[in-house]
Amino acid sequence: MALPARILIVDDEKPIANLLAQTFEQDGHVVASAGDGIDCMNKMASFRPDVVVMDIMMPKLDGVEATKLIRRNQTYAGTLIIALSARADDKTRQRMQEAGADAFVRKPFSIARLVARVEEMLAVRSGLR
Amino acid sequence: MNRQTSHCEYADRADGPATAAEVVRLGDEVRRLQEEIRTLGRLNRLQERFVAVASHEFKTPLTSITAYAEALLTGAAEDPARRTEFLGVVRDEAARLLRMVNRILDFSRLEYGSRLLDRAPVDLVGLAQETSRSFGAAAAARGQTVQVEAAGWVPSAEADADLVRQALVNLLGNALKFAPDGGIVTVTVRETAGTVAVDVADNGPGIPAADLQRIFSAFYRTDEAAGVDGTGLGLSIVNHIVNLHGGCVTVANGPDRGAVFTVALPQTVETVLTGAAGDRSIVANLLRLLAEFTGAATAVLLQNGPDGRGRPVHWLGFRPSRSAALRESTGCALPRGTRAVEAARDLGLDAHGPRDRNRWLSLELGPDGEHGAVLLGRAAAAAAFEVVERRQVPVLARLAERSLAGADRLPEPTLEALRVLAQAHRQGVPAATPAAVALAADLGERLGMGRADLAALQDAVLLHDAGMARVEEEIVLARGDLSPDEQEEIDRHVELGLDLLAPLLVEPRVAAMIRHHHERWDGQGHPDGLAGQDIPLGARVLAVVDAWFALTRGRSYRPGRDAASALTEIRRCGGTQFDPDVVTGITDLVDGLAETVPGAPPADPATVS
Repeated sequence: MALPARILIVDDEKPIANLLAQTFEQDGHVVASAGDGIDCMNKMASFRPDVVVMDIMMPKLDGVEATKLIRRNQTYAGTLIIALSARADDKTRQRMQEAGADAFVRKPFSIARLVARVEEMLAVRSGLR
Repeated sequence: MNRQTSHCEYADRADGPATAAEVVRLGDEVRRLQEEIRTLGRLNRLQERFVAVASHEFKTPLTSITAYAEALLTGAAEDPARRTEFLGVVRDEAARLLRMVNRILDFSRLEYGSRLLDRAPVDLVGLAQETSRSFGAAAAARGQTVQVEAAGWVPSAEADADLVRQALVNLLGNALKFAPDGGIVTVTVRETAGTVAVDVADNGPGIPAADLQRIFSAFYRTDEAAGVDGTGLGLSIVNHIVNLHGGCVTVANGPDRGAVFTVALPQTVETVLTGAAGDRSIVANLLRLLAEFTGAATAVLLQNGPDGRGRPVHWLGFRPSRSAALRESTGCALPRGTRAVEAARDLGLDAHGPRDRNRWLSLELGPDGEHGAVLLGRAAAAAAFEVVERRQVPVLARLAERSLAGADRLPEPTLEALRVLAQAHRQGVPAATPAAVALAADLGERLGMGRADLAALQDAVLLHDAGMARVEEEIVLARGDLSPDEQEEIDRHVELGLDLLAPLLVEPRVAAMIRHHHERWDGQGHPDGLAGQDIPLGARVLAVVDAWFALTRGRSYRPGRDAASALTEIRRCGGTQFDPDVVTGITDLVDGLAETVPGAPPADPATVS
């Protein structure tokens, strides 16, 4: 188990956001949730997450735009962004990568594998520190 | 396979000079192929959009189902309450997926199927209230309110209630989705010229101007809809349903935010004819009347344009949605006789509807069609117009013309007459069919009737029993012997009909034929006890035609007979009930008629003449 981290889950799909939150909490992380890109930007400032799990298709401000905004702010340079999308096409993946996401996970996904991936990335990052 | 065969046919003859018929056929073939290419292109675009939607919208609930199932399997939910909660999520998300699949199925049924409308008068206020109640719990959960209002007295719509309910469900569901928590959705039902309109207004964010045009396209979703459950099909389905009814659906942004969707559906014949509606609704009803008489699924009233082409001024039934506006501006060839199919093609009707030229029929209005024309088309699944039915056309044209010639508004008695006629037609008076019109015309011709008399006779056949619509229904449907009072009431239908139809019967000889068709050759008939040659010839012919159809098709109280036995019965009454010359005429005709006039189909219990 990796070091406890602060994880922000940004997904307008409540069921999946809840399950992710519960799973990360069970693993000892501190979790917050946001329902859209705007909400995400507000939580960034107040919650200061280490990891953002970001859905792409969302109302108000989508995941690509939110990721660009996060990356524009030097304060969040060390924040890991993991993109989630049901869009299977490479174009979406590329857009997300260009926006500055660190990883891309296709929906539907295995919760266990996603959690493992996040923890692996956290471990790599702490090793680099 | 078919296409290949015809291709070889042309190739074989390529070295010889093409005949005019071949050129026409090739032209038809080219048009058919072009049409097929357009259809395939459209299907292809639909498919692309479908894949895009399916990849996102279907995966969203699937993601939750997979993830929760995985959590349950890996023992992440040991606590019974948590297990229940997780299973609840799986069930809800599966239900959501099912809703999406159903919506896709609804859409494909409407898009590719040929659902026939089951039209009946529908109370849209009641239907809107019923629909809003079904959203009660969901709306209450978000503190939302649905208000249904009727703007004064609202007539009923001529519609397929199940389909319209589905359209309202989609519109209301949509409005509630986009209205904020605690928001209000207002449904207003109101009357407009010839239609009943339903406005569904929400107080959500409204629709960006750029999306207003495309919002009814299949699989189209606005950015605002990105975070909201859906397939992008709901509004497309609404559009389809409303188009099938010959109505229209529009969208606008309300004065203070929010979107307003308006669905307009045609009013019922009855309500328009008795209500105080403008001339547009009268035109709509005449078209409907013509369509009902001819069993047409599409009726278009064309006016002569200055360029010698027809301009559609009123449509009933199927109407191509996409390019209609364009075609209306360029018009169509004026349909004359067999060219009805060309007019239909110009209007874009053959791309979806009937292609066979025998499924299109035109009525010219006024001498040489100077008042325009009516184009009538049957659905692809229906039978083509038969020769006998085409003979009914001039009769209908005269009726339509007479009524359309009225100024901006038809007088109340004329409306009432049309209403009665529509009702009589609906009850299926057997001797007012195209076959009866044709038989009467043949018989009249054989007996030396002049052109004007023949025209009057055909009108009389069509109208003579309209008064039956006013006889008590129990009597009309009675089985067995009628009481003297009931018989008297049946007999009275002639005069009743004449009173009711007076506004349509501008020709006195039509009225005379109808008035006297129950007189007897021996003077024992009614209403005036005329005998022999004193009875107008048209009335004597009508009496025999009426008897022929009553005998062969049966009445409510008596099954039909075969042609030979019917003829024997009519001959038995020659010289007493019927004019012997007319009886001779029908005897001579019957040998030839045996082929074309149905002998003894099963009796229809709902009909009587």
